[in-house]
Amino acid sequence: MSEYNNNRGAGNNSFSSRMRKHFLFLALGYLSVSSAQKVGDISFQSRDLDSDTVVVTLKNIEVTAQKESKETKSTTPYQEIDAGKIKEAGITDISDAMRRLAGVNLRDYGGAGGIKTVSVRGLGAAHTAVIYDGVTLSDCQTGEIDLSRYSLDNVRSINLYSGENDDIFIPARAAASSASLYINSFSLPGAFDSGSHLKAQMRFGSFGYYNPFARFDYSDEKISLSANGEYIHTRNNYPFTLVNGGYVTREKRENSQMNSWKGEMNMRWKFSSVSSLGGKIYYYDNSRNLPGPVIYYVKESHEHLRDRNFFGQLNYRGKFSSKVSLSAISKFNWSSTRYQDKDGQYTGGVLDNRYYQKEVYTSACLLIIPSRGFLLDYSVDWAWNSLVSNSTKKASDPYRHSILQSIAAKYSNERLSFLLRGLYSVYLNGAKTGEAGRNENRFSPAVSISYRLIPEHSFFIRGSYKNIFRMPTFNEAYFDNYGSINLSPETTDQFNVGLTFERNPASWLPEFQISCDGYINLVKNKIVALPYNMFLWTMSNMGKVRVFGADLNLTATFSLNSGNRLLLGGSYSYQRAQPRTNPNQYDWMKQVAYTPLNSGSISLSWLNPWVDVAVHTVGTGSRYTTNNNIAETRLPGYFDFGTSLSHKFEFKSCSLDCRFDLLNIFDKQYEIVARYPMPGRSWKLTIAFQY
Amino acid sequence: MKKNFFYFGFLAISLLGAASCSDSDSPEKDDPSKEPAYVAPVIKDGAFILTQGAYYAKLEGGLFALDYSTGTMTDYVFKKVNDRNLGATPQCGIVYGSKMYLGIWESNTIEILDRYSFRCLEQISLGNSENGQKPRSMVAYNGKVYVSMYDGKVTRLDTLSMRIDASVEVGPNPDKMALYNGRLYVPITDGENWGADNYAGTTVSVVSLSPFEMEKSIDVPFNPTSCVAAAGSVFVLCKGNYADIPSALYQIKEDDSTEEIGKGNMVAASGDKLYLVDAVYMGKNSYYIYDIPSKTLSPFPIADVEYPSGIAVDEKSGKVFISSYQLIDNKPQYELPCYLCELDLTGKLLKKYDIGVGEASIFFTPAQK
Repeated sequence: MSEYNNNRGAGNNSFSSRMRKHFLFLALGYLSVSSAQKVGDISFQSRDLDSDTVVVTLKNIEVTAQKESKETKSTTPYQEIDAGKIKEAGITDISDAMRRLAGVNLRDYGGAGGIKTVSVRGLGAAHTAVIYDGVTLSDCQTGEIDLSRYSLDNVRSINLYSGENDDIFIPARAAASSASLYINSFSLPGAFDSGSHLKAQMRFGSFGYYNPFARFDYSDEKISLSANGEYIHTRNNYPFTLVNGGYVTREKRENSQMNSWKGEMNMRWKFSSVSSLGGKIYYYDNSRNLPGPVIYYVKESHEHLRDRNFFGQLNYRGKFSSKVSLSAISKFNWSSTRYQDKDGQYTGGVLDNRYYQKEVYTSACLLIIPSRGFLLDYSVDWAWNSLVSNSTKKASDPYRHSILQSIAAKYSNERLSFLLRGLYSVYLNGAKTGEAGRNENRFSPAVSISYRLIPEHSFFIRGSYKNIFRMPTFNEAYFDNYGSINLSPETTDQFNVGLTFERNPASWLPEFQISCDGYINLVKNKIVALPYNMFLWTMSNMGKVRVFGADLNLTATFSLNSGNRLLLGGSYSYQRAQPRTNPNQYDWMKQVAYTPLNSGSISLSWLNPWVDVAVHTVGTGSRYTTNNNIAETRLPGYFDFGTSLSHKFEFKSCSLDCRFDLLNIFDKQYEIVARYPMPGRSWKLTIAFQY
Repeated sequence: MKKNFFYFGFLAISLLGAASCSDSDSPEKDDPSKEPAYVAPVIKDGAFILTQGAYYAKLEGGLFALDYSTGTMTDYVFKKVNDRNLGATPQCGIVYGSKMYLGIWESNTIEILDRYSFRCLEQISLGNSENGQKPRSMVAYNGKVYVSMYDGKVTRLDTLSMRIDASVEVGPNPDKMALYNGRLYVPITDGENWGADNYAGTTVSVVSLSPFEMEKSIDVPFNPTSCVAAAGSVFVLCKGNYADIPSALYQIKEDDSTEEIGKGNMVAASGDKLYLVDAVYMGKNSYYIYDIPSKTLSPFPIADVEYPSGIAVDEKSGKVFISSYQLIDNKPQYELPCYLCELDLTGKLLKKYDIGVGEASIFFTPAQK
């Protein structure tokens, strides 16, 4: 390469041959980039950029070659579900996608409107960061993100890091949780898709489900823009079987209607080939009636929940030289939750709780590549979050400043990949009335390594350690007569060891991938509710949990002959989560509530020129509703089978995609959360027109 | 190739075929008049305990029955006899005449049973009722059972027709009432008023029985939760603010003023005495007897119970019952079953029984005629 620079004035022959070499090198370099996510994702991983290279922009080319997947190479456990897999494996919605991932524990309250939260490897939902198009969502009130608002129609990929994030060019806040769930949308068209495109889709489903969706996008050299909108209307009054002693009856969920709509607009201005500014505006509005838990002899529910969320964000990406890149984000977020209930016991006969959260967030990440294979990143985030509520006269109206700084170093060569990160977090709490919660400043390290055991083969061993904490939520710190401002954060220490293997051994087995990880997670200062006196409870850092587990993932593609492929995918998780708070307590070393020992999923798909067919199942073992694992509190395990049929009709310039899903084929009656039955057999029909 | 298609197509079609066999949509109800396999012991003289359970944790609440003559406690007797759950969070009960009346809080029902066989005679579902919902306590008098309802009413149930025939508005969130001098004394807790400066009320509503209407409102100390009446006097237990205002028992005098009797947070009345418990969280509990005619408060010498949650006294049988949570490392275990201590009137422990989670009410068979 230095040859090229020194001989700039050399003759045409040597110049063009060197150009070809340079071109080939760049092309191969591009191929070996482990994750080429170009949409809405500001992280990238660069292995082979030469420090002396002068950037020459070449026309984009498409190269088909074997690629090592990120799941195999990552130093920390990483799972990905992309839009292709969502279709091929018959994944119907976000909770179905969650259940196909190893190590994930889903809480689902049932049906299209039910709240859905995700806990990874036994740590609790407040430890899972949900990152939408590169920016971490936050809910300081509950600490948990309700995933039910994310439909899969506009999702390009869902990625889960169970532990530290293997990417280095990320905002500090993305490294500030025990696990991160990335939801990346099709907000920006891919680099290859210039011109304009339209997708219009209609979905019908059981229980009065209507869901239109539309997306328009346009892209050229200077600008990309896309807009999408979605509306869901559903009655959600699904039948279920109620067992009351010797009486078995068929009931229906009442008061379950939902109307929700969502609109989003994205733009990206490309100043040059290496710098651009993107903007996003998002609005979500969901009004749903809550059927509530199933209570013996009660037929009515009058609960209602209205969620609204608006945010706008800008992000700038620029590459200043071959060695220095910068990414900067700023975001403003507003959300409101209104919970209403009608019951004579409330003053005035109505309970009307309103909560408003605001967030201002900025982040800057600086990536430096001092030499080949060596990356350094410094990221600094500042966020201001506030909660205002009308719920009580003594409301504290708390707010919090979060200042997070992360320094990370990554080294990789053909055999070894090593990542070291230090996160320094400062949290400053304040409250408009009354005392504020405790401030925190902590240093949280993480280290991970992956080593290629056999040269030239995709067979890796990996190990990682991450120490991180989560701040008490505003509910835990400030809730009237319940919260405690003296709470300390919950800390987690995660240890992981794993093996990954990938091979494309034959033309009839073009893809085979397997990974197996064993882990130990230790939770200290777990926030639990304890009695303060005879009549009042308060939150306290009394808990300790130790989780042992193993996650297994398998993907295989069989190529039968031209146009016929069989895809097999499976995941299995073992989770032994032991409460270790007090040896004298009845829950000592039992199994933490709502954590199944075994869970998993299998999907088998046949892709062919006529109708693609997928058959899949998810299953969990039994769980207990309390840490006191007695027979009375046991929720039985279940298997949920589904099938999907789809076909894409291709025309000259457009296509029509038809997909039919049958969920819970065997009408299995089960509960994920006690007293909230899940829907039995149901169907969905999706028709999408793309231009 | 075509073979593959047909195999897979067959599999898909057979799966769909299995899917199309649906369960019948019509509700299957087992014949409720079938003879139950279980026959409960007939209790002439005994005590009944309602436990709340923890509904969302799938820990059941139920009815427990103690037969004094045999000393045996029968658990979950309602479920065993009627083959269905008593409901979510049973709350209050009373035996009156040949029937037993049970109020179930979260399930919003009143169950009327035959008191000897425990067979359900009538289930009254209170959902959408204009006459009161969410039962809290019961008092029986003159062919009627009066139920204080958490939505602000006292409801009157006719025992012959087993129907609700009237109700009276008394104020927000009433709790345990007492019958005194032909009137009901109903403590008004205002416990759901989160917008107020204080989370509790300061009044007792007085309801006359005939005519069935609200008579007046008496001012009492902060947070009244139970009224008890005995020996020609009526008392109110005011729980304070769980901080600097302590929980204490007060007498409501003729002129509607109140006078403190003693500190405590649980009270039971029997004959001409009151039994008062001052339970201290993670501390020493105190027990007192207040003799009403002589107005003297004296200690009740019982061996300490770990974590008292309720007290009831059956004077005619000479028994005092105190329910308690289990303690581990000084902390009450809210998910473990409670136990019931049976004491005599001198405070000597006679027997302990296991009961369910969260005792809500202890009531007795009426005096034998």
